[in-house]
Amino acid sequence: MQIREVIIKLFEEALESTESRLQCSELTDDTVLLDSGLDSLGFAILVARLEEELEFDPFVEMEDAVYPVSFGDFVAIYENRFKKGSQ
Amino acid sequence: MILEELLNKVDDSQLLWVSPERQITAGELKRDIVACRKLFPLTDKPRVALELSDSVSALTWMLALDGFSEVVFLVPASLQKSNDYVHLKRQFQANLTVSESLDCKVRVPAKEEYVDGNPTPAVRYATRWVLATSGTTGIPKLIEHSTDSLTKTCKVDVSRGKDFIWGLVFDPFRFAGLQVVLQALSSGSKLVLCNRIESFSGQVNFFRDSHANALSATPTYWRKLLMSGALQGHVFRQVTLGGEPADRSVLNALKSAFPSARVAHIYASTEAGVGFSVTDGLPGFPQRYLDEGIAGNKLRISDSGTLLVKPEKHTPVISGGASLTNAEGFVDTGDLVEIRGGRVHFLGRDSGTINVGGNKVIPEEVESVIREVEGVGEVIVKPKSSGVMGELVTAEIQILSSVSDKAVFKNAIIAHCRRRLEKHKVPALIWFVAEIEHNSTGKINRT
Repeated sequence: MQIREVIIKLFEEALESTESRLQCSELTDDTVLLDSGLDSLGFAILVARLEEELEFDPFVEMEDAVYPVSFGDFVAIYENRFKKGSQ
Repeated sequence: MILEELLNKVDDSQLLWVSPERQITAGELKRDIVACRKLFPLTDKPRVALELSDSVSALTWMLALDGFSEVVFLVPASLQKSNDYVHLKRQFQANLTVSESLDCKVRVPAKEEYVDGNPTPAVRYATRWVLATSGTTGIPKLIEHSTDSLTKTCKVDVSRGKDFIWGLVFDPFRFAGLQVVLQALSSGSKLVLCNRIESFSGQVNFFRDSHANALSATPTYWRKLLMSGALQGHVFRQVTLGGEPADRSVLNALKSAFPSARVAHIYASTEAGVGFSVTDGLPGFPQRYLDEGIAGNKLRISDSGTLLVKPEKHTPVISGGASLTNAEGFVDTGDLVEIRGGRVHFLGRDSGTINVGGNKVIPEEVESVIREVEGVGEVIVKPKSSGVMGELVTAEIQILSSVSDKAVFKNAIIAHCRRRLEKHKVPALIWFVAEIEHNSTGKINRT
């Protein structure tokens, strides 16, 4: 499974486990994370579940932190970290 | 000094407090203080519970009561609604209550109702302030402070202070919030009260539209602010983090997002009544503070690895007189620390209390709720560090053999927790384990 697909699957689970709903028709790269329906607790849960799945947490690892604003930023952080890890 | 005297440092026409409902100048505040005092019944040794939900009224009354009450319990709005409050109020033994409800003895009137009532009481007290800890060990403790102990780290330069506009997102009657209020007051800075605005975006918009340029908030709040992109390009003079340990990522991200700001993270302990700020941009604090002290406080690490603080002059006490200090005058903060690379880093609470974005979670409470689910054998709730919320709640559960479908069972546990607990207390991750470790005394091993 591609990283993006894993993220989308767990994003939906995080929405469900915080009893939230997607506030837009679908997740696109331009979706602003905090407007997506997932609050920051749900977002933290998503990051924790992704760590279980992918075995890394880019937000704990990174020194020069960039906090993602959009869903596209979020996916890019994981994809970049994954590329770095597999090099 | 009484707090009201701080108002003499600024011009009467200066706007001091701005909330979505009202604005108040120094001159108006002085008049309101006089009006409050006239409403205040003459009582022998007033012990006042101040339980107003409107922050501007609550702070006006705080200033009015300073010097005219023996001791004042500053009740945060969130605590008023909690079950603990009844118990705490009884423990405090208030003989007066200032509240909005009709059955109280003093009521804040609408402005036009201000009338000449009682003469200004002549008796003066060195008023003590009672703050509730945020309940890290179950029921909150009431800790007494003096005006001096609360204002000793405040900067007092009005010529610099006029350039700062502080936003307030903490409750003004929690230690972190009161520090912001008193800092703004001591240096004649305007205070923008965002704390009663419910939505995050509402708070941020009010902050920006009020041209605020200084903010003290939890690292979790700051991360959310960065993720929202709402204040991109906003010019901050001061960025302060408190309420949870600040990590390197958030400190670096704030420095790069707000390059003109001074970034500081605060270590504060309501129990010890102290706070000191760290401004070198790194997490934890320099190890040399253990030898040299900081801001007049002496620091030490206990045999069990917790940070001990000996405040300068002021000796913190639990309301009612019990001392919090050991024989040498040190208070155990309960914060576990370790020395790494010349810095003292925070590891969490010795009680196992979990800090989810500034909200405290007692593991035992979550464990007892999980145990209510049929099929659960043993359970242990632990923190997991999170780059987003500081910490998250996790649960390791030993299940009884009667449970057949683990996935269904996990969902049932989460659903039960959701019904019984606040959102941040519901475990984010649940693992089923074969065995839960116990230590030599038979207690669950939390470390």
